[in-house]
Amino acid sequence: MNEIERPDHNVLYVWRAEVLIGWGIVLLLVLGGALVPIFTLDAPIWLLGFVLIPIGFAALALVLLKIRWERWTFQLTTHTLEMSHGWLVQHRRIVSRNRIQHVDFNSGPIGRKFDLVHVVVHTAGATVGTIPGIRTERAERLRAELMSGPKAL
Amino acid sequence: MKRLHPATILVAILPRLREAIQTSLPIIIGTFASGSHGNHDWIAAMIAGFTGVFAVGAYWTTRFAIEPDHVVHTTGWIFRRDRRIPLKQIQNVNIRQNVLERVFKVATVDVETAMGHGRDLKLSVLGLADAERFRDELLEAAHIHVSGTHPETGLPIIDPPIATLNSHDLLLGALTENHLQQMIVGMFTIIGPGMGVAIPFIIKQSASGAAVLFSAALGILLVGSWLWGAASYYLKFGGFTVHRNATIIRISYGLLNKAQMAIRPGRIEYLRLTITLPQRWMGRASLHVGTAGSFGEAGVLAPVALFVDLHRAYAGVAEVLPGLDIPQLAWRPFQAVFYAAAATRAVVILLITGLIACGIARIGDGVMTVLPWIMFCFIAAIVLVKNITLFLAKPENAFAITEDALVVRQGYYHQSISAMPIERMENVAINQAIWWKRFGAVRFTVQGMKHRVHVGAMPEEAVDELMAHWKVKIESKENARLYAALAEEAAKEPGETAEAIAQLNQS
Repeated sequence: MNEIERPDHNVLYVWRAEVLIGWGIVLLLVLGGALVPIFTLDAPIWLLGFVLIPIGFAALALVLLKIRWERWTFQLTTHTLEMSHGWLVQHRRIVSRNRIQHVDFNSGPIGRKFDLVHVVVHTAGATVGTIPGIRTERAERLRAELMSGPKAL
Repeated sequence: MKRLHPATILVAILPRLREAIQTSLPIIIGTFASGSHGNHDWIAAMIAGFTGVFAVGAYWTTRFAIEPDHVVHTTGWIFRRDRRIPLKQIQNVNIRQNVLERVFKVATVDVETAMGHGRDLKLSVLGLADAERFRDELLEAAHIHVSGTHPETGLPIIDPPIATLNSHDLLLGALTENHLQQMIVGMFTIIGPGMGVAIPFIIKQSASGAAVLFSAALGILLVGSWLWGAASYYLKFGGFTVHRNATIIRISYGLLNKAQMAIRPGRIEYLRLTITLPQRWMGRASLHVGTAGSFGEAGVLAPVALFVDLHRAYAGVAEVLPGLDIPQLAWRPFQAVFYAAAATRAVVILLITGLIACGIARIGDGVMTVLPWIMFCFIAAIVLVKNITLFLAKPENAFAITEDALVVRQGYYHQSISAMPIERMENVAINQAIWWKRFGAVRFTVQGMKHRVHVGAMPEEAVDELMAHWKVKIESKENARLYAALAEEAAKEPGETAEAIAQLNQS
């Protein structure tokens, strides 16, 4: 009950896909923005160098994802759910279990392929956090654990 | 099921009329612009027809009733809505009257539950006496006794108000209160059209003339919007009165638009004591409280004491959150890293805006060589004032942890002491930048259902201390529930559960 858990290792594929798609779109836009003037206005060829910016950012993001995964932990204790993540700035969120109102699962096509869901935890006042990439079976169990027990008014 | 007051039709027409005119504005402008000077009565007839149907519909289709556990509210004809609110979920009941409603001696009742995005149940409008009766019945049904009548004798009780605001204090309060918010809103509403008029005029002047004019306009704007803030405070809080008994706090105020609030003290999750600089010299303060619900148009905080003596404000705090004695608190200052971070931020902002101003001034000519620097001076002044006040407030900026509450004191011109009962805490956010680690400091926020209390820099051991208090509260609450559940079962089958209670006692 009290051990520290972390998201499934496969969540890295989901995150990588997100990074590639996001920066891929930026890359296409930059490429278009550079190629059009080169062909139509005889702009200098070094404009193509701008594509290195999105490629660089994407590479950096891909390297950092591993650290992101390593830093992401959550822990269910008798009375609280504790989530912790972040490297440069470390974020810790502690929620009283009797205040949790409902728990949502979100999953995209890539996540579903690896049998993963993001678990979103809500209290009456706010969405307190999303635990990324949990196996469906564990997520179901987690939801049952979070929703059990008395609830505060 | 009860119905609304017939004046609903009249009161509902005005806002509907405004909406209708707003939506049909393109048609009106279109017909006039097309140059057809024919008969436009059909537009007026349509607007009047629609608003009339809506207003009559609002009156005709709305029903409400108080049932043993619920308050029921049905409305609508084509799209019907049936809303039931459990009585135990009710946070606040508010009655408010705008000027039109006061003319007809009617009022709007708002019932708020937790996390209400605005009003969860709005009855607009009831006769004033009916509205007050409905409010009292609602609270009575939720087992909250409003003064009204004595539960045994049935005689009316008239509690003397625990707080009022005489006109002298009202005026002083209006003049000394912090009106920054109204100033910003006021400035933005004036700045748009004002700039349109002023800029062409200013641009024609020489550079030095433009600078003087610009500064003068800014000064007038600042003073004017501040006076506007003071006037709106005066109108808003005139006739401020608070009644209180064991189960309810009743607040009413307003010279033009009247507001009445009924708050359950047990639901208060946030408390804020504010003292502006002139008020500190006079030894006065204001106290606001917040529940999980909002108070409709009056915002999310309800005033329970305005411009009262400091010691009375402290007594008020102790009354709202029993055991919280502000003068006796063991205040702990924010860590130095908090101020270092703020100073670093200020320097970075000044460098960036300075570079931008320098760049624009170099490229531009005429007025554009001066204007960026004026804007830079304006931003620099704001940043400097903000940081100077931060350092002026340094001796007073502090937080305190008791067994029941987290209290934070900060601010200089406008000092605020915020408190949240640990029992009402819902979640906690702890953020630590990697370079804060060696100072053992974290940014710390506790959140209730609606409100939050933030500590700029808190030592890690204080976090552990607060967490320990929180766990005790959760556990005691949890145990109280277990006892209640077991006691309920014990009533059904005595032997077994008595054993279970004994076991629980041992553990």
